[in-house]
Amino acid sequence: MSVAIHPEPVAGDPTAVRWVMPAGTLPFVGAPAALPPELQTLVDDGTVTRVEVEPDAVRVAIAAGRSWRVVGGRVRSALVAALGDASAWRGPGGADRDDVLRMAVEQVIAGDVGDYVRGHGGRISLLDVRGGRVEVALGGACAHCPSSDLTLTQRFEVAVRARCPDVTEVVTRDEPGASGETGRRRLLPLRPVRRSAAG
Amino acid sequence: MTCGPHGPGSGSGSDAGTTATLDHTHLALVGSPNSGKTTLFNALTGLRAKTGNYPGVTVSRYEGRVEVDGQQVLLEDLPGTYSLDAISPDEQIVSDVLDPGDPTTVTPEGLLVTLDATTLRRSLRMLAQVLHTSVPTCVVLTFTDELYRRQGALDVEALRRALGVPVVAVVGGRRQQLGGLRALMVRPDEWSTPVVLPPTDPTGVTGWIDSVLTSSGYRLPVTDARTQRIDAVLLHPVWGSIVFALTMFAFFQVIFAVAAPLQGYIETFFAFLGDQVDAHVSIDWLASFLSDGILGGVGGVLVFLPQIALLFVLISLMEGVGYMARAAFLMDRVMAGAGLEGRAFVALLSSLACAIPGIMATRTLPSPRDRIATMMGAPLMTCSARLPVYVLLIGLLVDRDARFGPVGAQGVVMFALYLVGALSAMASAWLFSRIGRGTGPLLPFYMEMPPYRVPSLRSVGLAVYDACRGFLRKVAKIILGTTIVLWLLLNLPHPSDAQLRADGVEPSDRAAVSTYVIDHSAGAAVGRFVEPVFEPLGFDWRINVSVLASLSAREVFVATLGQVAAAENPDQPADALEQMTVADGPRAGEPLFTAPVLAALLVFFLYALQCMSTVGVLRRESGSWKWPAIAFGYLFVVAWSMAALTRLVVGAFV
Amino acid sequence: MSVMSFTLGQRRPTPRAVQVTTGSAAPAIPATATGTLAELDCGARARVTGVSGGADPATARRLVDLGFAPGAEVEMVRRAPMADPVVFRVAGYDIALRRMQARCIQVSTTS
Repeated sequence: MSVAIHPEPVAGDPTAVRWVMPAGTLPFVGAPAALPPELQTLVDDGTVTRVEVEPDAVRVAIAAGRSWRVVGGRVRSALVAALGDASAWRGPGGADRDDVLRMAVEQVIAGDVGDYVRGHGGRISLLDVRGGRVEVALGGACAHCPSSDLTLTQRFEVAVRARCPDVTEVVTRDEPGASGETGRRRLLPLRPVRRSAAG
Repeated sequence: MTCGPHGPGSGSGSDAGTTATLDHTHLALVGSPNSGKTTLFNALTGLRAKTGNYPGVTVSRYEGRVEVDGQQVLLEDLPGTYSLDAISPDEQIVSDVLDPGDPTTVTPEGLLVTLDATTLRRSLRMLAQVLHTSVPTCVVLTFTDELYRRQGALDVEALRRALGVPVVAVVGGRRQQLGGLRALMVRPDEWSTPVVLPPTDPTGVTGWIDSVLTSSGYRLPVTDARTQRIDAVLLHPVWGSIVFALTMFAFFQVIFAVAAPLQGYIETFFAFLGDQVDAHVSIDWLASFLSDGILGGVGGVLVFLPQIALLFVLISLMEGVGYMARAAFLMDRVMAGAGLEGRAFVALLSSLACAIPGIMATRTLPSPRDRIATMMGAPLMTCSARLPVYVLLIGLLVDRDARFGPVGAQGVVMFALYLVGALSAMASAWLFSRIGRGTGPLLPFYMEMPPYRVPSLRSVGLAVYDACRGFLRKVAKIILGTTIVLWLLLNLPHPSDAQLRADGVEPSDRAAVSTYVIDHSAGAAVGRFVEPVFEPLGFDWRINVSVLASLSAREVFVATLGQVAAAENPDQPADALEQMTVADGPRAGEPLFTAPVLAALLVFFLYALQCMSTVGVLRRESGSWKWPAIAFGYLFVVAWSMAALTRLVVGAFV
Repeated sequence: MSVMSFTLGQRRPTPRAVQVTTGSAAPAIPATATGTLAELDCGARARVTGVSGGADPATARRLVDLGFAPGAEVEMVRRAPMADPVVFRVAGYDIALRRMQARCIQVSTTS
């Protein structure tokens, strides 16, 4: 089976498109050191200017004069072919798998779940990622809210796992320096949620 | 249209000249059958919908107006389709309307695509095709409540991101939830468009759908347990067949028996009005024109309304609940013998009550070829209007006490007429579907089995309203017109009193006068003129006049003959009929209603399209005069040939 | 993925009797059988490998648009009293096809 992908626009950058792919297709994030030949051809002929790998997407930028409606089909075919063989990609030097998880967490914080927290007067920030274990800090209205344990963390973990299956555990702490106890709250192993975030 | 690499919200560049010059925005609804498209259309437009036809085809066109903040939106409800690769005229309309290069249709400024949230994996295939038309598109997700109830999951916001077009979820046809959608409908030129269009090859589309659904957190709903339990009974080989037979019996009973008293009230009411006219209008011919011509015509139209309303209540309930697909599933093998599909069964069954609701019921058939074939067969089913004719003629033909073994012979003949009618209907449908096969591609048979759902009363009401309104608007003119023309034929020229006296008729004897008028009418001239045509059937001009008069409605045959007979023997009209002799020609003086002639008449009425109302409804449902003309022509030829044959055969035995 | 097996041209005594689970742990290479949808027994599942509309490419295209795309998983749900048509579950919904159409859809089953 070929890899299933679809394009999503990048806000504020009409030359770039995020090609969303199944999480875990590529084992690294960032600008690849070497591209598979199918994509390299597009870079060589001046169509594609930049390729960047995210946990569940490949961000591709095209030359300023080009239109995505015109070259989109070629980029898609090249990507599907290139993603069919992950070993043809070379990640940036010195990267490890926790980088993928770290970027996934950052995207989740910047995205829907972060919006939800901020919308409820809370703050959420990444403390540490190590060996598949994620630590985030909760602040503001969320710091001592009992629902942050279950609802929020579950949503958070689902969103991270959707981008990076490597996550083994999510731990939330109250923000350092927040008043009251600074406890470490360990979460129960994740159970599948019945409804998605938007339900 | 906004093209190029614009993200959502950036598509502000409307192309000049389209929206600026029009006072309304033109949108169209696209979606598969059962996707809640029509429910949404009804909820958005209410009763302000307008029915018409697309040029040159027999496909109904529905459009309605929606007012949003003082701005007019024209919404067109396109026929339901599973794909833009059209294989039928209905679907071709959708493709043509969506094709900006097609000169015969106006391409809307935006499309509302209804997608059933429980069948997204299938419905996104059509969305991929729709997006390639480059007409601005907004997705309307339906049945999200059912998706969640069946433990499915979907992140609507993520789906919007993945598709690149606006996505709005609506539940059922609840009007209060349509605010967001209505607000969007005003400015389709501002809708976001996909940054890159979906692939076109089947495997590529599968990948695109997989990816879109995965990133939207889509979880396929579990099979509806309620539907499975109900289907285990309703589609069971034994129980399912029993329930089906009972349902169809009840269905037939409602159209036949429940409608009868309602029709009786309408007839009584118009008879009352006619009497009032007779009592208060002193000029005889005017009274007759008003009561028999106008009131008879209006009454003849309205008398069909109870049946049509009841039929559409039942059909839309069956469709809304989801039983129609099951009934068709059970009957498909049987109907396949006639070259039709299961859904045609309901139309043929309804025709037993009356061909008019039966022909209207063919709207449920997706294939135009099947629709025409069923319409051509439906008039052959023995409708209730044939009953009085059959009763009269059988009474003359078969002795009341004659028996075939334990059963009365009259009943056997009646049953045989019903059976021959049904078999002929199937044969005719088979023939026309064979002929149709040569002219168009053979449509593959497929039928979605939707989950059982509670139908919205609003949709049922609108379907009934729409059917009755369509009938009154399009068919009333034809029926009323024919009735008036027939009245004129049978009553003109009107003799003066002096003329009547000269011919020995007392002007105060109304029965005698009406007989005289008919005898000397233009219709009688027609009856005499066509005598050579009907001579081989043994009909004399009086039968011809009655047959002509029965074009307005078959039962008029009985009344007209009765009138003639009553004039000859007012006390015993039945005896008069029996004693009636051939008026002129080589057989003058011989009894008119001999067994061969009676049998020929029965067979003639079995086949002939002796009903202008049916012709009118054929005109409306097929969209042109071609099919009613063909139906009238072929049924006349068949009726004549079969009647002539019957007269020969019966004559040889008697 | 749980896959029900079926044997072409042969009725199984009980539909559930030979249900097997092929997970990542299954060591053996699964044997595949190919045939058309029309040959599936009640309750059997298969994966679409291709659609040929016989002489009519429009039929083939329509069947794909209805969800019988290569790769789609199909389950045979039930037969009508006179063996035709047949209800299949594909892409999350139920659809009835006549055997004539079902024969246009090639499937493979894993056993």
